Amino acid sequence: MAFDLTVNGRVYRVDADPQTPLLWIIRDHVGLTGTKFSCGIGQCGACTVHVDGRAIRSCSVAASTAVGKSILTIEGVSADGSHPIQVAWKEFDTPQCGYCQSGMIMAALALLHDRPRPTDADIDARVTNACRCGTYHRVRKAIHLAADLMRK
Amino acid sequence: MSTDLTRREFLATVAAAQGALVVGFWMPDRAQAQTPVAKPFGAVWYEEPATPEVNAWIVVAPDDIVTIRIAQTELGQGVWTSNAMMIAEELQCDWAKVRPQYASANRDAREKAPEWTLKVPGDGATDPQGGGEPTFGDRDRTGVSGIPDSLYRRMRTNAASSVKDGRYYLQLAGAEARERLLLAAAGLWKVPVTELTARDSVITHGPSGRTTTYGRVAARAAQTPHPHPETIRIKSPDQWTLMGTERKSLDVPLKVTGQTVYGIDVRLPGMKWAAVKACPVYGGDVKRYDFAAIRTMPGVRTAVQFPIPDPSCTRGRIFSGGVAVIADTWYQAKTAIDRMPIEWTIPPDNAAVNTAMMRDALAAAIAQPGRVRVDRGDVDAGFARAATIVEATYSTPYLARARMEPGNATVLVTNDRVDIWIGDQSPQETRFSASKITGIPEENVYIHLCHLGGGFGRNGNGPQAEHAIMIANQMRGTPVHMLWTREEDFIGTTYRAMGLARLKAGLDGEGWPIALEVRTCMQRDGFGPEASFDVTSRYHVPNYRYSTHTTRFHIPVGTRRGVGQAAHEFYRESFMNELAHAAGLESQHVVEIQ
Repeated sequence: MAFDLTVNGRVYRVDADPQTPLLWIIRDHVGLTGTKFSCGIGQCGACTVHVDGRAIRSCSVAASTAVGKSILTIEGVSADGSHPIQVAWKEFDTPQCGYCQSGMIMAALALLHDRPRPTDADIDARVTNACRCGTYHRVRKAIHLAADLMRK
Repeated sequence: MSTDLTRREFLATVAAAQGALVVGFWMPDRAQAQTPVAKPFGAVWYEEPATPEVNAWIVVAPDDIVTIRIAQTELGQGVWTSNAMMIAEELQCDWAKVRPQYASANRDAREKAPEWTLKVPGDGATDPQGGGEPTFGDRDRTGVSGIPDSLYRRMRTNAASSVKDGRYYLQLAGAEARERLLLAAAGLWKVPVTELTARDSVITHGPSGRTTTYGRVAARAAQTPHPHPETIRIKSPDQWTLMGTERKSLDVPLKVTGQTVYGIDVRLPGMKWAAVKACPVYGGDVKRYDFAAIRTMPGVRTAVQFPIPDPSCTRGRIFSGGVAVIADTWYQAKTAIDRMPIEWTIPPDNAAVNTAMMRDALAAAIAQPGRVRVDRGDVDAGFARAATIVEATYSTPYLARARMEPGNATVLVTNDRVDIWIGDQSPQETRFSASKITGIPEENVYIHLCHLGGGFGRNGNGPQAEHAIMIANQMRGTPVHMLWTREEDFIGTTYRAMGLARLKAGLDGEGWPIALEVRTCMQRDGFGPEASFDVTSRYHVPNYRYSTHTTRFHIPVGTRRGVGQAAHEFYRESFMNELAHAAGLESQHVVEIQ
C-alpha cells in the first residue's frame, strides 16, 4: 500500500506496509541510512528522528503515525555539517565509533529546541541514548557548546 | 552501473569536495535517486587505478590529494587517523590533503610484503628507533598475529596493537614514498637529490629555489623503484612534527552528518535481505522448519538453512546452526521468520546447564588445588600469626559485547569469486572462512571493509561473516545482506567468561596485610586459560599465594577487551577496600606500591 512521507522537507511515495516501523521505511524505502538500527525495542535511541519536532524512537513507531507530519533525520540537520550542533560535535571530536551519534544528535537537538539553555539535569533527563563507546562526557560538552552557538 | 560489479572492488573511500569530506561508496540507483543528500561513489580497484600508487599504502593524485590505505578497521578507536598520521609523518605531505581508505584484503592474499618492510631494527614496540614488530606466527589463519609475509601482514584490529605494532613499517612506507618523490624531482631537474627538501607536499631545490609538488612528480615516482630501499631510516621521535600532536579524527565529519558507511548501510543492486534464527542453545542445530507456513507473506522469497559454523572459522568456538528467511526488505524477512515454525536439535547436556549449576561448578573447581602462579613467603604461617582474618568471595557474570551495530554482512558468491561487505576486525580470517565455506580460493575473495558500529574483537563480533557466507553460498549470483536482530546478536557473540574469586587476608595488629591468598576461577577458553588470568598483584604483601582454577562450559567465550583483567581488577580492588575498612582506614589511604 502506497503512502506519502515528508522527510527532510521532501515528499516520498512509499510502497510498503504502513505498519512497518518508521526506521525501516526511512532506511530501506526512503534510502537514508544515517538513522541506525540497534536494539529494535525503543531502548537505545540509535534510531531517534524528529516527527513534528519531537524526538521519537523510530524503530518502535509505525510509519503510518508519521503520515502528514514532518520527519527530520540526521541527513536533514545539514548535509555539510554546518549546523551549530554538528559544529559543536566536531569541536570535541565527540563520536568514537559514531553508530549512536545520529540518534544522539537528534535527541540533543530536540532538547535544545525546547530548552535553549539546558542544564546537566535537562540533558540527563532528555538525552537517554546509549553509547557503547562511552562518549557521554563529550556529548554533554557538545550540547552546551551547541546551545551557545545556536543562541548566536 | 551495476552490471560490472563482479569486475570491480568497491571500497569505502573519502574524497575531497570543496573542503568537505564526503564518503565515496556505492549506493543503489533507487536510493540514490531518492536521496536528497548526494552520496557520490568512488569505484576503486587496485588493479586499474586512475592514478598509479607510489607504494601499496600511498597514492598521490595530481591535485596533491594523498590517499593513505589503512589495513586496520575503524571502530571508534581512531585508527583511520592514527595510522594515516604515522605514514604522513614520514611522507611529509600536507595533512589537510590526506584521505584514508581501507586497504584491500584481496590484494593482501595476492601480494607479498615488500622486502624493505620486513627487517625490523631495534628492540620491538618500546624502542623508538625500532618500532613494533608483531610476533608473527606461522601462516596459521586461526592465530591472532596476521600473516608474516603478506602485503599488509597484520590486518587484525585487536589488542591495542595497531599503532605500536604497525608503526615501524607504516612510517617506513611513508619514508619510502617520500624518498621516491624526491628522487623523481631530482631526476626531472637533473640535480642531486641531496639538494632537495620536502615539506607539506612541496619539494624545494635549495640552491635554485625551484619548487614542485608531490602531485606533479607522483606519476614519475610511481614508475621508479627506490634503488636502495634498505637504506631508508624512519625518523627518531625528536624529529616528529605530526606524530605526538593532537589531530581531529578524519572521519568525524562523516559521523555527524550520518554519512559514515557501516556494514549495515551497504546496498547493492538486486540485493535481498536475510533475517536469521540460530539455535538458542550453543551447539544446537535446526531439525526442521516450515517455510510453507510463511511462503505467501509479503516480500518473502525463500528460506535457507545453515549448519554450525566450521570451528576452523571461529577459532574453535562452537556456535549454533540456524535458518535464514530471505525477503525483499529486512523487516519483511524478520517479520516472516518470527512466524515460521522451527524445531531445534538441542544438545541435552548444554540445554541442562543453568546459572546455578555454573556457579556450583566454579565453586567446586576453586575448592580444588589449582595451578599456583605465585607463592611468595609463607602464607600459612602469615595467617597463623595474623590478628584478623578477612575473607571475601566475588563473582562476575557472563558479559556480552553488546556493540551498537548488530552483526551483519553482505555477501555475493558467484562461481569463481566471493565479495563481502562487512565491518570486520580480521579480514584475513574472514577471507579464510569465505574460501573454506565456498571452495573458492582466497585469491578470489574480495572484502570491502566498512566502519564498525563498535567492535570488541573479531570473534567477539561472532560468526556474522560465516552466517552470511553460508547463506549467500546457497544463493549464488544474488547479493544477500544478512542482519542479526539484537536478540540474535546476543546469541552470536562470544562472552566474557563468568568468574569466581576467593580472597583471604591476614592482618597484623595494626591492620597491615601480612598474608594474602587469591584464588580465581574462570571458564577455560579457546586460547588457553593463561591468557585469562591477571597474575600480577599491585600490592606488596610479604606472604602471597595466587592460584588459578578452571572449569569447562559450552558457552563460547573470548577476550572482550582486557581478557580476564577487568574481572580481576574488580576482585582485587574491592578486596583492598574491604581490608582498608577492616583496618579502619578510608579506601583512598590504600596506596599501590608495586
